Amino acid sequence: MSALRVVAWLVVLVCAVGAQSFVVGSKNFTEGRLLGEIVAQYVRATTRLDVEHRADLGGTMLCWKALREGEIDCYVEYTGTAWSIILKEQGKTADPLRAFLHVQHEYRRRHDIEWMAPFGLNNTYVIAVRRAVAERLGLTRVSDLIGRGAALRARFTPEFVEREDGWPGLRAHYPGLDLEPLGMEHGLVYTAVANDEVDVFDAYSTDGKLLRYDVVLLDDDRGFFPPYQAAPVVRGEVLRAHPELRDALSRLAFTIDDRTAMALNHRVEVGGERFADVARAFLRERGLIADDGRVPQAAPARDDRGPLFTLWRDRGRIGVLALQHLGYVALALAITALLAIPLGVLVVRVPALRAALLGGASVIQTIPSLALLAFLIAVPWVGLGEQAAIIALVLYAVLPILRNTVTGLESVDPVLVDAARGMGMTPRQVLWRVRFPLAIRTILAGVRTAAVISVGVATLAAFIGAGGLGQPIVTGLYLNDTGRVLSGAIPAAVLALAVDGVLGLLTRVLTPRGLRE
Amino acid sequence: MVRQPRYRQFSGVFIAREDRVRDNDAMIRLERVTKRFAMPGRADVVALDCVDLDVARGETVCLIGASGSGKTTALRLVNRLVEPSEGRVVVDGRSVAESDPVALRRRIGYVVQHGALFPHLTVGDNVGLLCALEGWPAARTRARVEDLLDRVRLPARDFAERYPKELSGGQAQRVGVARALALDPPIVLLDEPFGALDPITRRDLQDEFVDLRRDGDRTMLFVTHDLAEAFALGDRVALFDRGRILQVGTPDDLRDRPADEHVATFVAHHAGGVGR
Repeated sequence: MSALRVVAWLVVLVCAVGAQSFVVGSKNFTEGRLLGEIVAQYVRATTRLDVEHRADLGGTMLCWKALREGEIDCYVEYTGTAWSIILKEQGKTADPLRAFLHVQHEYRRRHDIEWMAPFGLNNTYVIAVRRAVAERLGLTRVSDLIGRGAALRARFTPEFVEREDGWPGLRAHYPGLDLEPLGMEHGLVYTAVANDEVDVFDAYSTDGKLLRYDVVLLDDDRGFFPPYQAAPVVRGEVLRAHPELRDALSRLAFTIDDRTAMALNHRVEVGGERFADVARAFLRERGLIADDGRVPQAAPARDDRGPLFTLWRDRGRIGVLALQHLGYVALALAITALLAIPLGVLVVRVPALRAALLGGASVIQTIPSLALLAFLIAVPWVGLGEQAAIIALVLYAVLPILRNTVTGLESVDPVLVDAARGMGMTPRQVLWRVRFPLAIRTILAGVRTAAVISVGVATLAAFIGAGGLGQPIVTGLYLNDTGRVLSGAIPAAVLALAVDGVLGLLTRVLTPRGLRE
Repeated sequence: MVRQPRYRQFSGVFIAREDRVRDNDAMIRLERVTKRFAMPGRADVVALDCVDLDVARGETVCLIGASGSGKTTALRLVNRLVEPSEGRVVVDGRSVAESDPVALRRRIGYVVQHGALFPHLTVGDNVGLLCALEGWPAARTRARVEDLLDRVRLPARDFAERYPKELSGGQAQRVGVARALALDPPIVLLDEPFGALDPITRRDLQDEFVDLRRDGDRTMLFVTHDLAEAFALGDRVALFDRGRILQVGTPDDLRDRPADEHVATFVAHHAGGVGR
């Protein structure tokens, strides 16, 4: 027995052991992860394969990339997503079966990846309306919304606002639909619905939270929303090596309908139960398994991708968003200047207020901006969108302007102040005729700092439905589309530089001639 | 002690002013004034210790002494930039504690080192600032500014539109003097006005100051640490030392009849600088 043969046997053995492991990935949202966990537990329980579940892998593109590169063997995909995002099909179909057969065929042909039989649920978009509003206006179908736009406050997720299979397509499919939706983070929408601040929003038809809020789901009566049937997708190579996988996965077919999915999602999201426990309970209740699975491990991953062409393609819309962005910044700065400069004067004249005002402004500055926005929209009279965004911008701009006003007024040469007092100027005259003109440059430097900060903070306005250049950024993050992120981030950076430059010029003009270099 | 010609030239003026002192017609009077400054964590600093000083109407008194001797504090008591801890300050027969500080200060010109011009205002606006604050019509203010600038030998045509940063040290100081005279105050306080200037400019300004003093009936307090300047410009000189006045008298008094050893030593020590 030569050493060579030992090595050859070892290689075979290692290959065999390696092939025995089956890696299930899942997308990083509740249902994706839950279905991944169900697949993992079921395969583990019914085959000899060593199953690993990599939850929280990321969004669609990350899972897709991992699958194609063999980093994972399987994950749960939706037909609609495969249709539009992976296959990038131009046309559309509302027929679930046709869609499924098409993506199955194309995946097999192009990528050697197999679609298993679907779970049964169709997690498509659905338009939801607060029940009180729906009953008052008699809304049951999407077409009932036509002509009602003026009376309804619509908030859609940034993704939905942008996607062809979302709002733009819906509007084209239902002519006369006149909603004026603003983008808003999905997690915040439900709070807003509970506070009666939103009437119409988009949801996923299997969202567990829909069970908890008093909403009506409108019937897609003209068949616009594409089907999003969930099914495991598996690498063909793996299926050929382990034919038992096909049998195992086909036994999961049509075991989870929309209501079941909603209830399972609800148990995790609202009930706070662990994914592994909910999956195991489901499999047991259905009589699919009898033994335990392992607790899933999270494995983070990243992706870098995306050309800049989005910026050029969307230039018209980006321009509108940039103007909106600039509008917020300008309005917030004007309000802040009118507020913070007099406060700075007050601090100089009443030193007792110093700690409270400067300290307070500093504390506000340390609050993470998203936390501040989330807090603001929870305050009933602030509401959503524009007001909250402007209030947040004002709060962030106060510190630089206030601090520079105080510093500017206090750092005026004491000899000049002494001369002014000594020659018989009243305290008010000393302030407005000596201190203030001499401090104006420092004060304007504070305004300039605040402006640049505001341009940055204003990108977060998109999270609360106020639009601006943050909108493509937020959407891009959701769609994992770097090009789209940059199409918001680059103009925001350019805007910051431009604002800085313009305020620099303004500072020159407003500086008294005797003080200029 | 060698008497310099330039010094002798003014001695007649001193004698003439002596008469006013004897009238006991005091324009400024410090009565047993003590000033303590609170120092955090330490004992109070006594800047002035029971000081008496009379300045007659039209008289110029130079306050001289080392730094920290209390001369500047004494000056600032007069326009209430400093309030006495004890004692009383009387200006024109009235206790300053009872006067409105703003009204009081507008009757008292104030000149400090370097001129302390407001850099954001033109020379003309600096000089005319108080006139404007008093609500004078623009034309009257303008005429007054021109007059004042002419008097300090800075023609308004050339200088009124300039900014302070475009002036030399001597020019800035002249503008400072012009500004102090804007409302034609009966009293002028000068706090080391020529202290930071080079010797030649300084002598020019001292000469101009003498001229300026002649054409009005102003009472002036002039703080300096330069004995030559004090002897040249003051009708009388008050020598300060550690919060007390060692002697008040004409330059001749201090030189020829020193009140004690300290005065004699001080004058002798600084005599080398007198007149040059």
